Amino acid sequence: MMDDATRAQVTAADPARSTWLTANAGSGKTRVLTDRVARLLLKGTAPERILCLTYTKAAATEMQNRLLKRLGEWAMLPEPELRAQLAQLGEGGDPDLPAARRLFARAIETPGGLKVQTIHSFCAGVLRRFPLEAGVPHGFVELDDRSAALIRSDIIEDMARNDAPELADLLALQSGDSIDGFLASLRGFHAPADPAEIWRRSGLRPGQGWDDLLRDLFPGGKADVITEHHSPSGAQRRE
Amino acid sequence: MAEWQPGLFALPCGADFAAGIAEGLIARMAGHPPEAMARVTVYANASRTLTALRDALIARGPMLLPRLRLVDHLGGGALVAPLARRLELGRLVAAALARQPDLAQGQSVPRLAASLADLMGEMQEEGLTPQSLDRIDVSEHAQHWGRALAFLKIAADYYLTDPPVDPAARLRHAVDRISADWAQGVNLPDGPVVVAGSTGSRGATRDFMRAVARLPMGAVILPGFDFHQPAPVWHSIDTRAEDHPQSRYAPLIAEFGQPARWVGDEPASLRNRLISLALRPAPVTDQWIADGPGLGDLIPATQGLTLIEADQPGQEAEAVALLIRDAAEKRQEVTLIAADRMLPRRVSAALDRWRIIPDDSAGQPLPLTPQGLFLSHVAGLVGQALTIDALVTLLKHPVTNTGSGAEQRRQHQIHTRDLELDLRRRGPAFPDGAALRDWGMKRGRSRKIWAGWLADVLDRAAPLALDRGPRPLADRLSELIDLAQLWAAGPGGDVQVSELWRGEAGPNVAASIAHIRDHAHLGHAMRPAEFCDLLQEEMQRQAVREDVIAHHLIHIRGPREARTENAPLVILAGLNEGGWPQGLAPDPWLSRPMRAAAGLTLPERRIGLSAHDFQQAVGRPHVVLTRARRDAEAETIPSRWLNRLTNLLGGLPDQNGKAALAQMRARGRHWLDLVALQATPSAVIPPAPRPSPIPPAPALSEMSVTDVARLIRDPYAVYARRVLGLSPLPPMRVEPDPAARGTVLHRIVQVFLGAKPSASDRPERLRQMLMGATDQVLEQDVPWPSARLFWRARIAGIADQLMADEAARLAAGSQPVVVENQGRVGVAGMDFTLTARPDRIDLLPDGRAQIYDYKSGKPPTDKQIALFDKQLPLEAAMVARGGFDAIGPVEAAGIAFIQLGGEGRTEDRAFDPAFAAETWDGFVALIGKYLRGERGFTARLTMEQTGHGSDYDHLSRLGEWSMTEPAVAQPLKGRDDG
Repeated sequence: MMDDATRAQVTAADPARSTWLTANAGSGKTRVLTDRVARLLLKGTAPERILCLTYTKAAATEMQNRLLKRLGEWAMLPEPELRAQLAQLGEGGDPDLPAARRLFARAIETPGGLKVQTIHSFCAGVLRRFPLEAGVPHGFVELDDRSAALIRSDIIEDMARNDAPELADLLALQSGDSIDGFLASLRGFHAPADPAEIWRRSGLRPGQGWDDLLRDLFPGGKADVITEHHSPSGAQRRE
Repeated sequence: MAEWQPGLFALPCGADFAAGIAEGLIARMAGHPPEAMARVTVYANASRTLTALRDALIARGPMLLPRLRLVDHLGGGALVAPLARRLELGRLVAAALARQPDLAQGQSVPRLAASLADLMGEMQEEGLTPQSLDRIDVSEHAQHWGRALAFLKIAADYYLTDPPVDPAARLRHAVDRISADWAQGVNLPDGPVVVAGSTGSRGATRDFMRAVARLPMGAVILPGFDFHQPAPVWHSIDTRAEDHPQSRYAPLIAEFGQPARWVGDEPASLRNRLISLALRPAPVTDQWIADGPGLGDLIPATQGLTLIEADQPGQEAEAVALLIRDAAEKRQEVTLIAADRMLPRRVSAALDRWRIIPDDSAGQPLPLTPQGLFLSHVAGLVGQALTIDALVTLLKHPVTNTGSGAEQRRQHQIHTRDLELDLRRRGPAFPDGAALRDWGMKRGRSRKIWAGWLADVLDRAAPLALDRGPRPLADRLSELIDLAQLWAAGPGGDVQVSELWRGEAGPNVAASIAHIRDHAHLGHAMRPAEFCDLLQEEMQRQAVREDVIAHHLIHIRGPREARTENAPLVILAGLNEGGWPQGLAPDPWLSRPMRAAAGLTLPERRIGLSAHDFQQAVGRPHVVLTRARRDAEAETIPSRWLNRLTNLLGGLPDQNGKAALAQMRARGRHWLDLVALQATPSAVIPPAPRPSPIPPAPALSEMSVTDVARLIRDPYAVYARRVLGLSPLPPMRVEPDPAARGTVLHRIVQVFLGAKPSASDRPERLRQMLMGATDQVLEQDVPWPSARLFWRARIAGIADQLMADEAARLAAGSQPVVVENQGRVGVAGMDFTLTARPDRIDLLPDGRAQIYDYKSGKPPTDKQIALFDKQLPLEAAMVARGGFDAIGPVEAAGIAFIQLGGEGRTEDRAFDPAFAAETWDGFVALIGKYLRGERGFTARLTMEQTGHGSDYDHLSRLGEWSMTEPAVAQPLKGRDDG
């Protein structure tokens, strides 16, 4: 009754297992996903408890439309055809037909909308729901790239106008050609630097200074050779 | 009044609501003297309903009108201005944020306060107290909940305690008092009381309706009631089905039973039955397949329905515009109902083609009116240095300098244009009063006065650029007004004559500002951004309708106004999820279970209200449903009600459901075909060929060596710049980009060499001279602090290498004799001169010349020089021909590039005198062809990369031709020829 490809699709769409699926374009991945969601709904999961994340907005709306079309068909199919379709899904046996018919309206009316969305929009939604907890302003708008670049350059101007000491470090690292690209890529610097941690990861003892290090490496006092040619001038060491 | 039947009544969907009420009222008062009607009181939900009702009554003949009131006015409105309440709340919130600095991350207090105030308004309507928040079970949400709860408690203590001053609280209070009185038979009204047009979605209104329905002479008329919904379905609409269109009627049905019909007929009965079935709540939709056959033949039910599914929103708008035009031509009244604002704007723009102005009930929000935008621009001057683009934006604004009449304004525009061109070409990047006064000196009295005025205004605004911290609201507001009035009045002008407080929106903006000023003392100290937010919030609450003469038959309305619209043709547009119904914004304070526990309505209620608007509108005789299948980014999801309807129709083939749907779509396709026909151009214009113009000989009389590379790569650019005389306009927002950096670095070197360093100077002294030159040039020419830092660091980084090389050169006896001096050499046999302004030419001890070029980027390779970068070889050839007075005709020894970046090295390139001669001959041959008209100035002849752009791509119409096309020479006639 079922060929191998269909059987593979049915297995992949089984909502009781976690699945990692790779397939060529056009082989029916979206179909498997909508089948999976449909089966979850059939088994009684409330539509508002299902989350589908996609990479593009186009994929999200396409998937939602296809799912609703499927469920809409079920609502109006005569009984024998409906049984056949459910059996093809892998829900043979004695499926609850009225429940299957109700799924269309239930999915459409999901409180908060059926959550088929891009990762971006999911994250934005979470931040909007918990602005205080997340530390973002109430009613924020997302920065587009150009506004973000303008704000970054304003910040650098301000720092330059006020002679901020950090700019000296920045100049040592960057020539100013692609400063915006460099600034935009800065991540993970929310918390202030912890010297103890940096020292530890570099294999230094806490509070160990340059002279201590030289003394450790050159116990016989030969440290002078190094100091002459490679003094750490120009680089400000922060305590 | 024995015949008066009290209780619950209703009118069906699709009925002309106002006409229905009027008819029923007149019928019930028919046997009574005329003055009895004057004792009837009718309460409505909105003034629009009252107006429609008054018109409907008057249309039925002369009579004494009943008293027409708004339910909202029962409470008497606000005792204290809502703005005052929000400002006080803002102060409390600001104090709370100050105590917990980690919460204050970028929060805008006016936004927070407005959001809290809205939530509190909802709580007031439902009659909740601060203790309602305690009812929420926090065990699962403890951590998240803690922070939000702190703010909610502040707001609740402020808003939800007695005595009531806000409109919602006062309404609640009044309704409670009235209900209690009437229940005890006290203070009963003297005549019949009718509540019409309200759905009872808000708690206070619903309780008033219940009280009126219990009066012996009361009547409540529900709009858009679904008479076709069977009793079991009513029972199943519990509080969780808030999104059902009839859900707000369920508690009233439970209390009073099914309403009676206010008037007998239901013209759209078949259609209403179909829609009613399509919109059944989810738990009973498994019955669709069973109940569907009960509808009978579906063709009559969908007779007046048209479905337009356009591919794009623009197409949808065009189709709607064509529909409206058709209705106007047939003198038929039509109403367009749309939830999002984009579509009506597009439709109005499309209708403008035929000079049709629709009657649009939505106005323009104040912040988008000219005066609103003007104030935003002026407010935006605070906290930022003034750039050229910000200055020009204000100067060009229609409100600026209108205080002395139209002639003065015209002069102002001329000065603005001149100033803009000069600022673009010569800067400064941050104009100030002094720069303006200098500019004003240059040309005549009129300009001097204007520039003096502008300089005064800029001087006034200058200290504000540094103002970033919190300051009292009253101070900020008065500063804004003073500055705005200066801008608007102009030199010697009168602000009362100017456009600032006049026109359509001016008085509203003035009233908004005055309102804020009256309550400014209540606000907290605000930063500039918060002040802008507050202004925006306040002005956003008002909209200004345009004062134009609109077509009397064409209306554009929002969905909430659907119940009072009575046009025979109704267009319901934008039927996509996210549009109509509108997307629900995530609630930042309470989740759904929390709202339910606190006693608040669920957000789905808004969808239910929208659904009801749709259900009422879709019952009209002729309805056109439109949507766009795609928006800018992706497919759209059809509106849930449309989806239900099409799914139901498509699933009932035996009742002609599929056929009915196909007919609906066919009627729609007629309009889409018309749109396509309209969009087809009547004439076909062939695309332009690849330009290769041959201007009348001689095309040019001189050229610089730097242009030679361009002549080889893209001759058309040389044609456009040198022959046509077109130069690209410098950008308005001057950035310290690589081009600017290159100019400044060259200037530094020029100043350094101008100080005549000699062999006796040690490298340290040379370095000092170089850095001195750097500091001098940066101070004079570079206004951006960050650019100064970076470019200085660049020079400092390479200074050692540069100066070491320089010292070596000087020690070897090399002497810079030509530094940015122009040289010229005529080409024999043609009226043509080649010019050059070399960076540097040194005289070597052996009498030969060494040519240098400073490069801030990567220097060209030998191959590039061989193929097209002929600048230095040509300079060498010019030196050999005595083109430079300072050096006479000498042979060149070599060419080299000195890098002003990277490591600062000097790089030699392959060179011998034969190469220079060869290059010269090659150039003469090439330019000869162009001068004699043997060769066209082809566009993009041999670009280095196909992706490289040219300033003249638009002019050459790149895109209509591609670079694979061969160029066809186009000889052009001069003015003297034929």
